[in-house]
Amino acid sequence: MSVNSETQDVVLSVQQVGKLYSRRPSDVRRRLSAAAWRAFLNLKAPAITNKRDREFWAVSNVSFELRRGEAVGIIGLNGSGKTTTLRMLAGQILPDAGRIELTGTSAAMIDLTAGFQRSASGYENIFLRAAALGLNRDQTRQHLDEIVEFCELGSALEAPLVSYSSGMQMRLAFSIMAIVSPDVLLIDEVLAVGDFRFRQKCLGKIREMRARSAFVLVSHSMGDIRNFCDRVLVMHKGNVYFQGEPDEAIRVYEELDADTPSQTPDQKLIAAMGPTFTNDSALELVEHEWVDEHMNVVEQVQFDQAFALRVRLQSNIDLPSITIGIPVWNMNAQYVTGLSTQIQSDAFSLKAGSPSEFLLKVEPGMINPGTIKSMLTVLSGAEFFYRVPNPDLVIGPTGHPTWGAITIPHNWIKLH
Amino acid sequence: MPDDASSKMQQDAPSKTLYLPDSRYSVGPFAAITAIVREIFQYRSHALTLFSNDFKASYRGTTFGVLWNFILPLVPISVYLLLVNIRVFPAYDGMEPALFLGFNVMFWYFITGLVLRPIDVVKSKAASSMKTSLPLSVAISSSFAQLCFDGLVRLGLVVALVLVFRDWPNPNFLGLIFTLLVSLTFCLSAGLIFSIFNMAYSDTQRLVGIFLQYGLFLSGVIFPMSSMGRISILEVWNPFAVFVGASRDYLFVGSYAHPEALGVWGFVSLVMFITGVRFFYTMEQRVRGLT
Repeated sequence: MSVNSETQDVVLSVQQVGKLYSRRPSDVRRRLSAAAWRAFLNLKAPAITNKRDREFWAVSNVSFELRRGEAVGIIGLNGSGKTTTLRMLAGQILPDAGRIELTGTSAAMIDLTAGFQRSASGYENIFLRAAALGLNRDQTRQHLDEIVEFCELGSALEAPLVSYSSGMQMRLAFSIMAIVSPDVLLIDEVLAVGDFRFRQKCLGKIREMRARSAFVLVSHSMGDIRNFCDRVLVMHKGNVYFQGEPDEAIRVYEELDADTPSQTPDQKLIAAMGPTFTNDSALELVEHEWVDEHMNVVEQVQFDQAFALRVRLQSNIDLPSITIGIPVWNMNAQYVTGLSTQIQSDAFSLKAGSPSEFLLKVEPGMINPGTIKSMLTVLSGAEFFYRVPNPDLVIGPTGHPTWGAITIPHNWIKLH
Repeated sequence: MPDDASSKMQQDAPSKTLYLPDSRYSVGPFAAITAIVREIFQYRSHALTLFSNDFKASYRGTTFGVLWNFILPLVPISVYLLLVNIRVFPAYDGMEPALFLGFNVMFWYFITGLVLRPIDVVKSKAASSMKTSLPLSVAISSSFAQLCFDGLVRLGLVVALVLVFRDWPNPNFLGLIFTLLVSLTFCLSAGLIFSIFNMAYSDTQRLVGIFLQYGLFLSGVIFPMSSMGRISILEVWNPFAVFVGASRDYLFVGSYAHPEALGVWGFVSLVMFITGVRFFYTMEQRVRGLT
């Protein structure tokens, strides 16, 4: 499969998504009021660059891609952020960091009552739920027999939904969803309330739908996860603790308990680097890459070799004064240094519609061998326009020993 | 890039939907208006079902049943009609006091309902809207259906008063329609804006309630503005006084004494509508799940 067609097959792309919650309602209201005033005054959304003590990332740095026909499982202990992640994927709540891109259509089975009216009959709810999924009454009528047959609810469809058990509601919800056959189907444990036979019927139907759809399945049933999913994310304390083959993921999950630290070293690094943010309406066509002294793009340089970061971008608005900053971390998640335009006396500016190019030159022999992680941030005042990781750069070994993360220029002189 | 409700299906070629921390911030006012109209159309069956549920729930278990839904909207007007009968109010400029009050109170409750209901609905449904995936605009439309029903019941009483007192209207339809448009856009926009700010500042709902309780007496609803001494200056500065006065005069007299004030408030309403709908659309996803 070519790279291009692989890209086209991606129906859901999740990049470093995070959700910030607070233990105190006053913090939630504070953020909401800031967002409300900015929306009211037609200003850009405030980026979350710092959080208060009582705030916490309920979900942090979740990234994965989902291709048509694939099924990704999400497992984890209670409160690990599975449902919050799924709600963000479904667009029920917005992420506070990162980006979710959905190609095509989606439907979610997160709450059984979603799209239903409890006082209406089962029949009427078929039309209501289908309408919420984009079908008009005629289209729904064409599929009505199929839905009625699949859900096996018979005369109970005449009764109001309020009299249904959760299993019956799940039957109805799933039957409608199966007819609609979206590009991405998000399912959160709701299948668990169905009886064994109907659950098998649902899984069979999902298998049929795999030719057209992709799935994200949250479940505590390891059997379903093992049989059905291609990949599994293990979530723990809001982070993706493990991502990989189902069997391995289940093993990792079964070893988890509430005392397990939330992050592996990799995740610590991601957390240290903080959220990503883009504002496409302000800055676009942003490219940033490491180059050597001949302006060739590089992934590795020698310790005693000069290198630079080349940044190209185009602003859609006039920005009389911008700051470009490059925070740098090593692989141990230590914040090594920051390379900012703020220490220069001349501020950079951007003109709307004109492409701009910047070069950050770094002297040789400053950063000690190892891989460096860094982030390109562009801001004006307190307003962030761009905050995205640069490509990794490997600083090659040197003939002499080094200590710590950086080597500052120094000379030893013998005085006596 | 469009942002849509959580669960959605379209029959067109695959579209791209982005969910970002700043989703909808770059949406323009007309795109926001179109999106809200599309949402309401897509979920119109839900809006009707919600209205039907609320309508039935309001009298469920009572002895008089559905009769309550006709009686209760008439209570505010009937109180004032009683006071008219015992001659608490003076005669009004050429109009039967009962008709003056009946029309004013009917109109007042209708337009202030457009302010108050979005605040109530967003407050009460924000938490559940996250789970039901139902856009808040749909819940608001359903509550407006109830408001329209109450308004129609009161309008029926006003028609009865016209027939009883034989005080026939002399309508200027152009003026009346313009006044109605201005009043509705002004109040709807205010309602949408306050509904969001109320989620951030809980005092908003109470302050709006107090403001409108005073407004009932300071907007020429009960007493004609001309009889209110120094407060009569509000006749053109208070938008509610302008809306109530203009709608009544365009319906019964055929002309309104301050068309320029109505024009100015019309412009303000337009600006508020463009701002308010966009603001509501931008913030709607952000208040979901909040209590």
